Amino acid sequence: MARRVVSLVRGPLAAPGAADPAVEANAWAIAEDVHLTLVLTDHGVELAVAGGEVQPSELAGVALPPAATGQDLRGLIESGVGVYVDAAALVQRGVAGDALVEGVQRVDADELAALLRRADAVLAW
Amino acid sequence: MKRVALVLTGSASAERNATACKLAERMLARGHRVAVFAHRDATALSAGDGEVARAIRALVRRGVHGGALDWVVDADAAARLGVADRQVPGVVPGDHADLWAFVREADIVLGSGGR
Repeated sequence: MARRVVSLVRGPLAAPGAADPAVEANAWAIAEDVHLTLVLTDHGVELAVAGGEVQPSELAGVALPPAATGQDLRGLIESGVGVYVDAAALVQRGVAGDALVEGVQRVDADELAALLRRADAVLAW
Repeated sequence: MKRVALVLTGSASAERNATACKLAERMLARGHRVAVFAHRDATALSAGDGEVARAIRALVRRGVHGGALDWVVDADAAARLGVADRQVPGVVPGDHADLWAFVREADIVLGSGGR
């Protein structure tokens, strides 16, 4: 049985939404006896930037949903999910290491490879 | 007999999802049990009356014997795409609890997602 799962999140949705679908989907794993590790890579590292919340606003009189992915990631971390961000992808996108959501850990290529090797299953989002 | 979980996502190219479906067919033919979870845009694969939907309908029908195939779509995603009530017979609306149950119970997990 696949108990240890690594979820690779490669990119946030372009459209604003209440929650990033990949992060939201992974939150369900907590209740299903799956040891989940979340790895943000490529454009997915944007989800780990602290202060990246979308405030409630409106467009042409229609309310746009707020988004608090940082809060969602903190929720996962507090629930015991390891949340990592690809250090190389951070550098490529010019994101400073100290600009991350609290609790998100940076991993280099070797550490990422080790995470993947230990997994029973890897899902890409 | 292996239990295989197949995760279809909207971020996959049409070719990836087609390959994944053909793989499901091959595994069924070899006597393995296959559980498919489709979310995001992939919920549209099994909707309507197009060629892909008809092929999935035939695949689901084939998997009825012996209970070897489960095909679940994320109901919320299907509703957002307007395809919730257009799913082919045998496709079951579900949520991400189903996804993780499939993953947890599988011997092999395959995904068509990622960019």
